[in-house]
Amino acid sequence: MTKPLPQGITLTQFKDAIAELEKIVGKDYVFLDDVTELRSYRDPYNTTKDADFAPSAAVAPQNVEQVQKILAVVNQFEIPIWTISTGKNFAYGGPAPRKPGYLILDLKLMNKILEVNEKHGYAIVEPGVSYYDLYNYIQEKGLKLWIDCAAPAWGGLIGNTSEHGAGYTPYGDHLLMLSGMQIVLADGTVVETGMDTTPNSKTGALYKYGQGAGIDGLFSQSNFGVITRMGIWLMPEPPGYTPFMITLENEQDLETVTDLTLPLRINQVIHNAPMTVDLLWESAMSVSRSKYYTGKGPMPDSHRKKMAKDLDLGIWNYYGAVYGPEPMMKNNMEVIRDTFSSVHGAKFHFDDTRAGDPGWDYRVKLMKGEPNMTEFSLLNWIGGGGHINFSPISAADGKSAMNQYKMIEKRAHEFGFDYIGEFLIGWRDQHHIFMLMFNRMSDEEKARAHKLFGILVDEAAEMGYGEYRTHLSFMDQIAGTFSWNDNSLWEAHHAIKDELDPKGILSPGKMGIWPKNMRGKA
Amino acid sequence: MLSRRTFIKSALATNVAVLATPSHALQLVLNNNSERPLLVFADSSALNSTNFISTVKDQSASIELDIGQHFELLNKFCKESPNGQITGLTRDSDFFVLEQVAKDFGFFPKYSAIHTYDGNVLTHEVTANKKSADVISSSLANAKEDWPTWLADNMLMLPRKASEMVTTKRQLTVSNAKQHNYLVSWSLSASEKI
Repeated sequence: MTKPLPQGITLTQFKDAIAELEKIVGKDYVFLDDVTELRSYRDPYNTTKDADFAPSAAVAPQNVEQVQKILAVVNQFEIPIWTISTGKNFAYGGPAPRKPGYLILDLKLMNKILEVNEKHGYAIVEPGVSYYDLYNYIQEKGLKLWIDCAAPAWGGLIGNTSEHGAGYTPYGDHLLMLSGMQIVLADGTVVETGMDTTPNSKTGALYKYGQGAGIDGLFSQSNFGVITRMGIWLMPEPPGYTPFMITLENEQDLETVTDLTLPLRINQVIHNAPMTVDLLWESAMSVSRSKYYTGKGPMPDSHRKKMAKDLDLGIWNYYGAVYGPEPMMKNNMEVIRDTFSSVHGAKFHFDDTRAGDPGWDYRVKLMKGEPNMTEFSLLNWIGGGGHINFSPISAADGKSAMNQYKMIEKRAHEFGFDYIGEFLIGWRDQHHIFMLMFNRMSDEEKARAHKLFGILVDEAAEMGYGEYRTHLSFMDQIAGTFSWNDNSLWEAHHAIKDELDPKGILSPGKMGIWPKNMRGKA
Repeated sequence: MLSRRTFIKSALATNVAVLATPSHALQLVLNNNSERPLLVFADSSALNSTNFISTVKDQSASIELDIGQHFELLNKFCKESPNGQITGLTRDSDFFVLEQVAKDFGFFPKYSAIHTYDGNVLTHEVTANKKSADVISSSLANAKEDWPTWLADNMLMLPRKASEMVTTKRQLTVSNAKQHNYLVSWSLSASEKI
């Protein structure tokens, strides 16, 4: 295969740039070989051609000074870079760049845990720090702090937070828990946000804002700078923790429990973001599809019901948790029990009866910030499973949940896919994750999944729903749905982009934000 | 309640004593690969995988359902044994995750095979270099129900060279088809050390 080169760059220019990069980080940290090195920067779940997102090279700096020097080189040669840290970001494009030929800026080697403060409950980390790293550090030091991790915990704190990732403890809104960042701008300028801008400050990870405009959010899901440090709030280990699950018998119960949940969530009776998970998601943790159905197309209802009965699962399965001193948890659980007692057939489950069920066990771990990788078991639902996630946001109300579910389920079935999904209720909103699972060895299935995804984006937009995050392939399409007032939001993004990154070197096309030299050419 | 476990076994190939009952074939392989550290993964929830792993003595077993619990062992092995080989007969998801981690250390699949049952038809779909793919798929088919044992006996002979990969498929009818698992056997190694 011919190596993809950055757009408009000759092989000679590329080689000259690589030579400069090797002077900065050393030859060992510039990766060029497509077979033995660059395969780490591909998306195994891509639904189009592998070559669509193939990088030309990767470079891994070890400190901020090297990042600054790398940016100087790529500015000089006008080579686009695609910044990644640790973690994988699978289902949303993985580590692969938006266009072929980009240079990957891999921050994995910047992996210092700079501070963990037990008294005030925060950590300051570099981009290469994974959830496992921070968890292990806290355990080794015996600190009474919890982390809040992504479901596959090989993710990194900065990567997940800047992608607007969500977790499962009361600290699950990761961007909300951010306090203070360090960013390197395209011209090499290092900027710190919030309180750390004042001399000798020790409050950057305590108070988010400082004086003047709060700009932290500008660097999330964007390409305006390279984040090299972040403060993250950590939850003090609570005196008690009670996870629970409610199995629900009927499809329509989704509407009922969503409406029942909102007041409990807003008033902090349920402390974390409760999840309503469909039968197939839960079943896939422990069985494969072929055990119950070997036919083509979506699994019929009769087979679903048998599987639910065998596995003691509901058509929907609701997870939540309360945290705190025993009397407080007891009171909260009474309110929760009373609330859900109105739902016919709702059945509560706790650790005493559910422990050992892989679905329960991994949720219990996630809701107390214990990193694990169990969610990958889902992909055994079909052989060779791959997936991309369709993730629309709605209000946390029952009708919206049902509207989204029915639309997506109908379309998924039309295209021959199972509906596998979950709803997660945040502070006011609801994240809906439809896991569009396909056989990643089958080009035909991947093409079908790709087509379905595009239709879902358009239909959701017509219904008033936008997505919170997406795969490389659909960033532009989804950006196009945030179009109010003649695309004024994206016009603003582009104005900022042009000002901060005039040569358009930083992650061009990230979330649909393109530099002026590439705009309209995607 | 449902439960499953993942077996991990590691063995230094120089130490023939780590094998409980080494077959003659494997003994020969070990003698010919005297410096190759080996890490083997298997899944106890699948009978075929259990049969596979039973050929290797359990030397370093860390056991639970979550593949993430084995990252530390995997990372350590990759760092300390750049000439090593990581193999397994596991669920597809476990292979996928391990492959992604091992990639960062320069370990890539040189062999993988999907083993599926549809009724009493057993299919082996082998991906390896041109020279090896057909030989391996034939051998697996010839081993009939005992293919996991054949795999265990020959895991040190699985391809380790990076070259163009091809896929070959063999199907056979078996009399005892109680297994419905979709299993994947695989081998990861760093090709530049060959």
